[in-house]
Amino acid sequence: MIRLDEIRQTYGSDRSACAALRGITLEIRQGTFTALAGPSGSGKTSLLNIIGGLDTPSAGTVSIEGRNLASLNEAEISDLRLRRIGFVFQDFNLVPVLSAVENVEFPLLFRREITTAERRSRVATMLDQVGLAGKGSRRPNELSGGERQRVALARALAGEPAIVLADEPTANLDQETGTAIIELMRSLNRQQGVTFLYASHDPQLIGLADTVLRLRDGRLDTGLAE
Amino acid sequence: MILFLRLALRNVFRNRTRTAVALLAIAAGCAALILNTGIVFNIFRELREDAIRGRYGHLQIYRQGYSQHHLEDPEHYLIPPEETQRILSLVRANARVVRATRRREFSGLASIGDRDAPFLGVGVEPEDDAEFSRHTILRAGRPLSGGDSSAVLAGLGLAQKLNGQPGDEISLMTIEGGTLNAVQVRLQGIFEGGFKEYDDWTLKVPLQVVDQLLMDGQTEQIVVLLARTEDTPQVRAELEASFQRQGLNLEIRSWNELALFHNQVVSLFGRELNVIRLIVAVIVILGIGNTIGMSIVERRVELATFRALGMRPRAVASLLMTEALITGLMGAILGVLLGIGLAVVVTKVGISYPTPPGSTRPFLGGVDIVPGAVAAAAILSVGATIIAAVFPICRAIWRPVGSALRRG
Repeated sequence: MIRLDEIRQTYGSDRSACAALRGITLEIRQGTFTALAGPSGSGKTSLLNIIGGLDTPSAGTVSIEGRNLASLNEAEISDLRLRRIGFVFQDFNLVPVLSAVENVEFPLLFRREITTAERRSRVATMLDQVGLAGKGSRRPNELSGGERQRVALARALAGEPAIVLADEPTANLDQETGTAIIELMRSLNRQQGVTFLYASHDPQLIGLADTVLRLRDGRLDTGLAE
Repeated sequence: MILFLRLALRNVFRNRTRTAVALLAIAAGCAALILNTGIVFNIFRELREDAIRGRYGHLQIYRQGYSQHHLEDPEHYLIPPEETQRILSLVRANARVVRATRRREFSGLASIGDRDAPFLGVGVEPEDDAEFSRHTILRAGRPLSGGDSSAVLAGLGLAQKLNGQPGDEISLMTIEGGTLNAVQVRLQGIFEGGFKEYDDWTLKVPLQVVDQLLMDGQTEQIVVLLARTEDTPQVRAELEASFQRQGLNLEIRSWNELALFHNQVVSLFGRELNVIRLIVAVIVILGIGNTIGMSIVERRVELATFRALGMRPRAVASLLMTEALITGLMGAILGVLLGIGLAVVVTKVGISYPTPPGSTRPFLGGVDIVPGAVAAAAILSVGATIIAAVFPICRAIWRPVGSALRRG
């Protein structure tokens, strides 16, 4: 499903160069619920961005469902993200001028094969699954932090992706809400068989994962999934 | 698609103060263009109507070859009386023609008492002259009328040279075929046509008097006045076809071929208008470019999120371009309303112009609302807004997604 081979990522150049990832090799199988653990600055975000095709690694290869990202052009990577990868961000990254329904619906507009009726049905189903059935017309500033992250989760899953990458999805939430979000992700993983990879440094939330990848100074602690 | 447009529309009003400033800049540019073009077109129209209703009419009909050769052999290009009547009948049959009259130009020497001056005579039909002289001001005396067979009108400059006043006896002398001809007439009025050179030399003489002086009864030109200036090309084509059918060997010139001063002014101001358009476009581009750039920089995380969710760079660019288009359209609509409103007010108040070059009098102008110019100003405003958006949009869509998300 996800295969990384000797991934290195360096920011800056020459003297100011900073190595964020120092040769990561790993494989994540389909349908797993994986946590990416490690302190701040350990390279979690860099790794997620590379897996999602948001950044190009300085060295190494990334394969998603057998496709080497280096062989894809910008439009093909965009299409891969649109159809196969969902993203959940620490700051939710919802569009403030759109309602919850519209936020979830917006990425589906670019999937021409999805009819308007199917789009609306998917949005309603997803908002129902994340527990926001009655709050679809509210804008992000009318929702709590936990509710916003649920909208972001619904948005990530509405396109029926194979993989959801979540970068510190609970960092801006209280413990209880954060646990609820991870449990929601866990249940969606079990119901839909979607592969989840989420970054966190909270031991309690990391403990909810099937598999934990530990990063320290840009290296994997164990090399392979626990 | 509706959601896409809804998002673009809401984004436009996200920062209302900034949007208001952007709309004001576009509207001000658009209104400035409408006003400037309207003022210039008003001057053009005044000049055009001066030329048409003061001197040339809408169309002039001559014998074929007249325009090119009449200075070398004027006698050869005259139209005999019976043919003149046929032509007048054909011309007057056209529904768009208000009036058609005969003219004959000649030159000679005019004397009042001990003062004399050369003049350029224009033989006119007295009963038609008032209709063809609507933009001519009578400074003293009375206009020509059907019963005035021995009265003439002098241009202001010519009257001053002769020290003539209405009621004075005036002698006209011409040399025709080596023979000196003279006639005694009465100065009935003094006119001001608006063009100094015209007023300094011109004497309007009834054709009856011209026939006495030149002794041939022939017509040099038939001048045609139409109800609407816009119909000029169509009527010209119709008359040309009609003359051809009747076997009349004639040529037609329209006012815009004859009014050289008008053409020079239009050419000069036309270029000036293009420069103004360019300046306004640059100001709008610089002003709006900065505003759009700021808006895009502030939304870089959101735009990167769109990319992360799978939107192609082209789709993100389309969204931003749609926002620019909406802003440009709204600014243009505001600008059109503002421009038209100001044009109406300014026209009501009037713009007092000093005497233009070559003219003899100041005039009170206004602002013409020209549909084509209003549309051009609106299109230019929208176009400038879109051009202003291109650079910030390109920067936004080519920024690496991961980097844009990190800097959020």
